[in-house]
Amino acid sequence: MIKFSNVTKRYGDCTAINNLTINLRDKKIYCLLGRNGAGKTTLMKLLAGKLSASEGEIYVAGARVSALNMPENVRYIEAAKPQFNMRIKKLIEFAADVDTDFDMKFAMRMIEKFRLDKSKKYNTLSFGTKTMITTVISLASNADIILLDEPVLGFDAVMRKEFYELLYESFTEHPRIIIVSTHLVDEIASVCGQIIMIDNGKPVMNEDINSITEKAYKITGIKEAVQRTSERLNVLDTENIGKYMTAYVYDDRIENPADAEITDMSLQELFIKMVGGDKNE
Amino acid sequence: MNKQKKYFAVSWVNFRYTTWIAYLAAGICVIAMIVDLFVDTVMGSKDIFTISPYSMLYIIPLIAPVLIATVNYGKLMNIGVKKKTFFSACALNYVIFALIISIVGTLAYYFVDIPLNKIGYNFYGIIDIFGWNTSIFDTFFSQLTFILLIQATVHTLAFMQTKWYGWAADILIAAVVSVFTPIPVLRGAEMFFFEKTMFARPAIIHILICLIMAVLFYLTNLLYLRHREGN
Repeated sequence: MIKFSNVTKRYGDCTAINNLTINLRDKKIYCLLGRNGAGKTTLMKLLAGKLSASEGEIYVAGARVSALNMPENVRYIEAAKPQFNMRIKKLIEFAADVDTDFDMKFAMRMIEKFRLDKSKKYNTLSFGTKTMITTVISLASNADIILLDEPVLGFDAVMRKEFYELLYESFTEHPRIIIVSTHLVDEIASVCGQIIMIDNGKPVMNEDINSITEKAYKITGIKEAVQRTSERLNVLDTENIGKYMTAYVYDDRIENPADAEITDMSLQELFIKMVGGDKNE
Repeated sequence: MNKQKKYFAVSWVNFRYTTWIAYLAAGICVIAMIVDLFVDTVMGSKDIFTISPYSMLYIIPLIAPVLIATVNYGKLMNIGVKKKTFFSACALNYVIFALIISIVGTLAYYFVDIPLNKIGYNFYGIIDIFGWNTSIFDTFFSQLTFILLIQATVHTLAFMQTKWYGWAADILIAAVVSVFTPIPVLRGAEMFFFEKTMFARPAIIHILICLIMAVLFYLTNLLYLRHREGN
């Protein structure tokens, strides 16, 4: 369905996407992870045809994507960008007018469910509510590919929970490719089917969530025991506290060793170890 | 049908949002002209030269394309409008603007300016300046195509401003005006260009030249759309 073939995108001297080749076929919720400036938004804009690639080609359902031929079956709305200051009802109606596949019933049901005031004008809403409105508009589209860039930015814990429910409900009603970029890695894990991790414009991981959960683990114990156990494994990083050591492994699961303990690695930890970000990310 | 629905929806938003600034500016100027005329009449000085109020409507094709190409473009892209839909919908906006202003201008000229000038007023408007008054056909279509040309030019220039060639075009225009106008020989060339385009007679020549230039200018947007970021 989606094919990036040796795609590079440069902004002057800066390379945002570097020779990216990726294929996405299955209808799933994909989680796009990467540090700030890793190229997540650029990737989404390229896919939506909002930007032209400097090199390489992008295909959606076999049709080549270009900035002039924006694919009709891709929906990408940025929450942080301005909208017309219409009443919410009008804004949704307008979105339906310009999108032939818009599911008005779903949009209205979500507006009711999340107790969003349809009579309010867009500019009077809080940032979180604006984001929720644009997310509802995106998900109400029956387009084959939905791109959500930082959709939970500005959401409190309750709104985030509601968002994940909305995402899951939309996907179960209409299975398709939904790509969500977020920094709240562990939260999205409950609904996402595949993780795409990019760093410096290049993919460092593109795997099914179950496979990742299986492969990402920690070995903790006495330093010598951990070193011996993890000798032939793909160790992402190690941490030492006194005579104890923790090895962060991304490899096939091993049997529980007698002198060390194996525990699951969270997606957040995996993300940090994979892209070498700071501990706050 | 769906395509047409999209074009009309985008055009309607273009008419309704942001462009109100252009209507407001034009409206204030028209009202100011009418008030001025009323005061002149009350003061008994109706023979004083007065700019026809309809001429102020030309503010709309000068301001609205700037607002559409800059403010509305980003918002429309961000709600899911495709670039080609934007391109076609804006063309529809500009044709409707041109039609309305030309109709109002023509009616104002023949049913306000001419009758009032006969009883001693001294109205002078764009139609008189450009000499588009040989017939109703001339008055209407000369305005229509000239307004289309203004809008296509302003839209194109405003749209290009995010790229280096937009700035280059600005500098080029400023350079032509500042270099050509003071030097008599070059001024002659400039005059020749305008005489053959804007002031060309018979009317059909002017109408065709304006129409062709408007279409060509507007079509160049397809080149910029390729490079312009979606929002």
